[in-house]
Amino acid sequence: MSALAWGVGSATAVVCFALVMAWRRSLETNAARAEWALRPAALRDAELVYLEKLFRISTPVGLVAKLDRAYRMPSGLLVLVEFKTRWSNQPFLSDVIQLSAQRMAVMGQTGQSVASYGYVMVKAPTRRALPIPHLVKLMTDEQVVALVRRREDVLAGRALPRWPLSWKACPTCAFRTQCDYPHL
Amino acid sequence: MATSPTTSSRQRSTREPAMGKRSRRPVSGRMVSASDLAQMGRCERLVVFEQLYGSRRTARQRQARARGLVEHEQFYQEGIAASAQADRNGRCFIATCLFGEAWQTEVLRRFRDEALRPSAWGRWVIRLYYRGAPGICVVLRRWPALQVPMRVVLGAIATGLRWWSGSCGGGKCRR
Repeated sequence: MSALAWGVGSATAVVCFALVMAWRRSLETNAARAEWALRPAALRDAELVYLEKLFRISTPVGLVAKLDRAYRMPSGLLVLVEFKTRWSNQPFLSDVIQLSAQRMAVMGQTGQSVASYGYVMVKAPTRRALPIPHLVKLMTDEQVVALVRRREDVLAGRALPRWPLSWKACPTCAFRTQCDYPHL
Repeated sequence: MATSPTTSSRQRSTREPAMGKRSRRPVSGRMVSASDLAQMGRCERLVVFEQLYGSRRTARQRQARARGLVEHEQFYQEGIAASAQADRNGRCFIATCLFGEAWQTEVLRRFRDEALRPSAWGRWVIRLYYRGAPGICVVLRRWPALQVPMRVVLGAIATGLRWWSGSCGGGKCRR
């Protein structure tokens, strides 16, 4: 009797283990399919090469950047992708700056060529929304360096900080009580 | 040489920030993070305020950030799954087959990306390798005795490349 119980118990354990493995594999397959289906069409043949990877350079400016994703096209060119969750379905200047800085860091650290364009995947913060890719043209290295220098100047008080181009973000800004922007 | 893409980043380093990329503390020295620089495109006055008073967020911003982190994690997991699937289905490569995710694999991968890929002849070599490697992997799995000499040869090449890249300052002498 006890041998039979052992046998049934072991068989049940093996079946449960197999079911769990199959379930995990199916979850993984679904996620992989979703990744492929949601890629921008131009990246369908590309290979996903970097995920959440940190790059840093110290010349011409000190820059550290963490990629969301980078794909390698069949030609060997890397294309950067940045993921954003927001209601407004459009890329912002800040996304372009972020991708441009990432591009400079990747090129500086690895010497690989990175496309002068990238993608911003914007997803609405709801469960069912799908990320929508937006192609953006990136800034040149010189423009990134100039921006880093300007940031240093602004922080050191050598240059006056400019007003934002759009005041739409102002009502939700945590510093609006300190700010003397005319729209506030 | 494994093509397994994200492997170097698959296990996120504990030294790196978990998900949110903007560091709470100032980046050491004169380093600036891409996310901090991106703030310049949002509002330069905000950059100054954050420098003076530290990062401040409204309740709504905190909620949005928490939601964003969850979505970001899902995006990351999809990427992991996709690269794992690509590894399983796709090209099996000799170093991964012999060493797994070891330093030898990493050195050979870096050699592929940094020394071979930038030039036309290098890409030709990679294509040739991609064509032949899966077959070699099948042979190595079928006759494990062949793995020993192959491991010695590839291990010696990897050691040589590591020494070479070390003496060249991490491959930077190429440029």
